[in-house]
Amino acid sequence: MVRTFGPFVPVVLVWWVIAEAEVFPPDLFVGPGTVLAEFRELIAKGILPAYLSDSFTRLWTGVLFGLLIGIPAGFIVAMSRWARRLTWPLLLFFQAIADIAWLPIVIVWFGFSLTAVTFVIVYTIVFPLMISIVSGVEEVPKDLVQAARSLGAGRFRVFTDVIVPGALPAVATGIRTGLGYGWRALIAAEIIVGTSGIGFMMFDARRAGVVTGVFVGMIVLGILWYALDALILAPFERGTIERWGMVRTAEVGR
Amino acid sequence: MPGLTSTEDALSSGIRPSRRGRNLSRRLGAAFWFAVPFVALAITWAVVVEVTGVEARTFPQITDVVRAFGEMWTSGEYLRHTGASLRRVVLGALIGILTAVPFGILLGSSRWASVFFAPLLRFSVALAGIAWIPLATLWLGFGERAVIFIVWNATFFALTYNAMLGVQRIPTQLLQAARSMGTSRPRMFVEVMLPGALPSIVTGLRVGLGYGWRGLVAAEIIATSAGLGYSIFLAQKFFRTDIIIVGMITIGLLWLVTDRALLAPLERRTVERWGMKAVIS
Amino acid sequence: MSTLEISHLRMEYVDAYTDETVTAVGDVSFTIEEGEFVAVLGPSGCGKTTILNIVAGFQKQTSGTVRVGGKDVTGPSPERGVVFQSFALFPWKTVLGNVVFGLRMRGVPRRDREPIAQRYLELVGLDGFERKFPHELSGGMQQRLGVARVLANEPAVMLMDEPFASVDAQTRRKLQEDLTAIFEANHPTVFFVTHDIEEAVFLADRVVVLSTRPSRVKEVVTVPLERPRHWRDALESSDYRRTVTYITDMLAGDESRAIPADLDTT
Repeated sequence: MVRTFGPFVPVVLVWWVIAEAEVFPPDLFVGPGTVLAEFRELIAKGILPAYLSDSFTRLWTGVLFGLLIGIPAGFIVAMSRWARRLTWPLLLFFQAIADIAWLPIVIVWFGFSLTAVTFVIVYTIVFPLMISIVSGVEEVPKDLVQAARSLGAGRFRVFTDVIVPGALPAVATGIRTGLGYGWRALIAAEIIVGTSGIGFMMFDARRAGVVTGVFVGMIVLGILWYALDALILAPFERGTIERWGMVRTAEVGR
Repeated sequence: MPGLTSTEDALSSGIRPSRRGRNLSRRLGAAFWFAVPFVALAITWAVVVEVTGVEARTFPQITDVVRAFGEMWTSGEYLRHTGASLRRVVLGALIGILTAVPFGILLGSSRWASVFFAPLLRFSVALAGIAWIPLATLWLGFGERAVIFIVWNATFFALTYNAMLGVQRIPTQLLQAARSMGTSRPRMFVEVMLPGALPSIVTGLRVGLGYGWRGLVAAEIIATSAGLGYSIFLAQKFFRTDIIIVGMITIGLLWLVTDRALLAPLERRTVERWGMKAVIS
Repeated sequence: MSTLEISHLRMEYVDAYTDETVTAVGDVSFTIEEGEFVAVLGPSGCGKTTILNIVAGFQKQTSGTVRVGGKDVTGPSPERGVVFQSFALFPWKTVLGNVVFGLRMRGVPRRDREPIAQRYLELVGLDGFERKFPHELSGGMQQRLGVARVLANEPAVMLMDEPFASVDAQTRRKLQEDLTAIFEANHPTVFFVTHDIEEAVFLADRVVVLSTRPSRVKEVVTVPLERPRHWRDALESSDYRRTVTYITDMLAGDESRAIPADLDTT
């Protein structure tokens, strides 16, 4: 705990000093004290919790659908040689279209609505996830499959007992990547489309010229994603790799 | 590449052409198979639109898109927007690389510096890119600079963090070997740490550019009056889905080209050529 | 001139897990004369690699002195070249590049570098592989490259840290013979760490036998074998067998008190 948060103490101190010394104009840069005060106020007024829960709901709706679509689709494509051949280039291409770029057309289809935002988030999750699963399955060592086969496993058992566990790290990585894109897309969508949510809050503060609100939003976001990634996603990814003693893909700074 | 295994069976067997010839035909074969799904998609698209008779406003026919592209091209609009976006990405990424790589390697070379900065960097990577847009527009106003800042921001943190990790991952004995051969401290950075950290740096570049592109599009929607993001957002106001699709395809192609024609070969020429473990991102 | 003198070397460190002070090296003293091949032998965990690291300048001793050619050791230097068990080759440099590296660092004029490097590559039998990358070579060849890289710097002392432990038995035999041949032709001063008694006796002029932790020199055994040496002759030589048995017995008593392999922090 100390090791994770300790290093932030000097940073906060330096930040405080810079703000106090007014190295930057105070309407563009505020110190930790101001941010904390604003943070408290936003919580007291119930604004922050409300916005947070809005953002969260959108994110998790999208994530849920993304997983529900992406995982099965990923495995279906991965298991069929023809499906792979046909879809792999498409997957790559659609992954390449920045998820944000879908916003305009999605707005045309669904208007400025929750559906639009959810669609974009689902999109950001599905493609990295599928790509990750397909390459993950591809990388399951062939001799493991052969070993299972020679021990009498039918196609289904091979799938459940060899392929799925073997591809689990890839699933974890895909989710992690997808989520990384997902929440960013959410913020962008909220700025562009929304009437609530953290992204909206930050942009609204910016519009009013109140930099404190922007700082609060960024720090809250940073802490949340950092916590999610460091405490849940990364350990999950590492865990799936280490548990089965597979070759560790080195930690990627994401 | 999954799914695109031996294409020799797709080609007619018989005479064995020269090595060059075989390589060429293999690459053509691969290109062919890469294109097939898109052709299939295009055909499906055309057919579905025809059959369902959907409005052009909701979903354009493929011919509409081609026409829109033609119009944008002749009016010079296409190049203007694409050029603007490209320019911003290139600038942002270049500055990002030039600032992040030395900084990251420096951090990685010092035990206490890396321990100290790691959580902060990780936090910054977590936040990198889009989340900075409100702040960027506040500090730099709307316009070019804010957009480039976002791209820089996204690439900088991802690169620094990964470069730092990369240096830390260099086997101690490699550093010891270099020292015992008389490498001075400054030379260590260029001769040993930079190549040693290269796999991680390439990964960092991939991740950073991935966030950078997304940040770019979002920033262009919000903060400027030129560029691909801007043009598709403008098109949305007029329900010009055909223009939107031209924009989307362009964005997709640009990233694809960047990744496949730039990053992947970079990785091949260095990390793979040297047999170093390529980090899966 | 390039005599290596180790005098009352002691190395203590604090165990990260138990916070206890551990003495890895108790009191070790011996000398390696110029042109001698000395093997440092001991059970696992006796600190022999620690001693090598101190001599190489990678670690600082708690007390005691290490002198090469009369001068104290203060840090790593091409004078004390190291051949690593893990090879430690630069993956991004070609075979030639790896050998040239040390020459570059020492400022050898550009036009001399390649010929010098070439000569050492031939010496270890790697000519023809100049343009290859280390990962394209077999384990045995990689270690030859490691040796060539060090030799090219013409060090006062060659420090070898169980260099053949990472290759298979057959390759190891071949490398041992090749190393002996190179030694017999050029007579560098060699400090060779190993846990393999047969290897030590075959290669060395003298064998420094260490006790378990905290280590001290049990005995320095002179190897009564003539040079040039070949495995075929050694295996049939009674002198060889006798020396091996002698040392084996010496260590056998200690083995039972040796630190288990998984706590090996040599």
